[in-house]
Amino acid sequence: MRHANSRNGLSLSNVVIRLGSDVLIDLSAHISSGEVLTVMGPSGSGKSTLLSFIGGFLDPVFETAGEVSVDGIDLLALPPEARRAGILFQDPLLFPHMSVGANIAFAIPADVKDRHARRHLAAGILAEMDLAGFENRDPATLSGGQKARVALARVLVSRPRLLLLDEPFSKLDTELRAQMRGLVFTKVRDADLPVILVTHDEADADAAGGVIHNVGPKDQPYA
Amino acid sequence: MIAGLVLKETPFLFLVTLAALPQVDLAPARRLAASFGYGRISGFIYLLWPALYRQIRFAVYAVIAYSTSVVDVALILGPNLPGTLATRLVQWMSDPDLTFRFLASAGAVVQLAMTLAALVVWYTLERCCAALLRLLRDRGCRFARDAGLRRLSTFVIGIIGSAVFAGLILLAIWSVAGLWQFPDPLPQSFTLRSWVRALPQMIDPLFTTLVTGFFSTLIAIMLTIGCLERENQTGRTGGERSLFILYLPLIVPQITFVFGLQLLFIGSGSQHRYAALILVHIVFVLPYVFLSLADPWRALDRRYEIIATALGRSRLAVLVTIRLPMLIRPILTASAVGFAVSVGQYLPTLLIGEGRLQTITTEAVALASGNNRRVIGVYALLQTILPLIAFSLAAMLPALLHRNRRDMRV
Repeated sequence: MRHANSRNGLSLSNVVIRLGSDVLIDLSAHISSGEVLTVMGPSGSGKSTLLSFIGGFLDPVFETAGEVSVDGIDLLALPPEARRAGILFQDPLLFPHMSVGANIAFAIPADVKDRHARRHLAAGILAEMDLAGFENRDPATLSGGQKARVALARVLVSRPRLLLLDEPFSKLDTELRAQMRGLVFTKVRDADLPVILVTHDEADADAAGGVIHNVGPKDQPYA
Repeated sequence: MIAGLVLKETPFLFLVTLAALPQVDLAPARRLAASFGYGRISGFIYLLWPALYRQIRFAVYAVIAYSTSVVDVALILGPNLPGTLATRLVQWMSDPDLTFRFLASAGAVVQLAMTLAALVVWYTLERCCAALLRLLRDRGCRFARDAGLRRLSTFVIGIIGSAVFAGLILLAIWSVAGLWQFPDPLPQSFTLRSWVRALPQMIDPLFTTLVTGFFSTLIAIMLTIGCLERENQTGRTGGERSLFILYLPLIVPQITFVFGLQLLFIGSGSQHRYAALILVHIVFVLPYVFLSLADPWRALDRRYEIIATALGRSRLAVLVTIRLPMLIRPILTASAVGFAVSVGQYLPTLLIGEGRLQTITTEAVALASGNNRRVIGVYALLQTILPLIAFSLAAMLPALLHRNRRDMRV
């Protein structure tokens, strides 16, 4: 099913991911900018393969079919590094050999050439995340919540076309989880990005507030 | 001579085993075995040894092949013995009478057959032991009282370790000894004269050693990184078969195929002796470099690279900005291993260098059969120090590069 307003947002049409004879994903959807599609399923149901497929990192053992386009651009025709699909994993995965500032600067698009402008951009996004002045810090010295915010800042500053969230809150403790959820979904709406969220947590889906697509065995409750 | 080889190879097998140990669950397995009433040694052998042996098997083969065809140890320890086939081969190969070359070629093939025979015997033993082990295990033999055996093995390892160190210390003392008469426990005076006298002659071999070690290691590292990166992209590893190919240069007796290589280089009329020497060293350096780098390389979380790629970096940029800096420590360690291997090569250097390219090692072996202990001490120490320097650099450089990054420490 292809939507008429595919110029605005992310379109998945007849996306099928198969492993041998098992169909892991079978999905058509349209996600407008600023909206969230939540893909829910138990662990091992293959829900993360959808994100790998869209990002261009899917292991070749999976068979795939279907089309993915963002704002009318055919994403699958592009190499992974040109897709500009921002990803957040459950671990912040800050590059441990770089300072916080260098982690952010790594993500700033190459067309911002002026060094002063790049530094200004990095300082701006860090301040937005309540991390002003953290540029020279070693990522290893940050708290869990701070790391998660740097990871979010890093992906947002790269000006992605869409955002892929792979259970990004599952490793945070309960209190932080609620905070991060609020922060992520606010920032995503501000940035006006289409988002796919993969999770097994109902509360994530509620916070995202978008359409829910279930994968995996239908008769089993979610873990 | 057997004792000498045991001394020489134990540290190697020990290191290989240490490297393989983290891949089996030592502590939980020991507790599990103890809870069933098995002794420590039998628990280890029943539960862990099969998995561990599978990892170090090729290294054991390499040791067997090396021992059956060793030249330098035989030259040093038993110059007056009737000579192993391998030492005889070297004599024939360097004989000015060209007809001996045919004899040497035939001998090299015989040597290969001998080594293969030794490997077959070992393989048969391996099978028998495995069968015996199964039998004991299935009968549930516990061997709970193994304290004596444990103490014995600690003792043997201790003896081997201290023999190696004692030898080194003795050499160090000799290299600075002045007059040292027979019954005295220590020299009457210490002097740097041996060093001062030996150093000018050492500059050429030292230079050759460093250049060959540096370039063969550099090329081996680049080849290894290329292979592993390719493995990343295709998502396929070479498996058991590629491991065998990697170990092949270590399992086939050096003397057999290096002699062939020598003839090849002479036949090609190539004048690039340095290039040839480096090339031959790579054959031996590459397996060690690959084996030490492969595990850390595969262990790095792929998601770092996925994130970097999603942030718009090309494959090469991700490799250079993310993977290589994050793996700087294992890469440098692998380089140090490679350098140490290159420094230690005797036979290939002797044959390919044809006496015109000397390294510290060939000089040391040549001197060892003489009786100037002071000069031998100087060369042997230098030969030990070079790898030591490489390993220290490998340990210190990352600490310096990433001094403000806590997660980049070990």
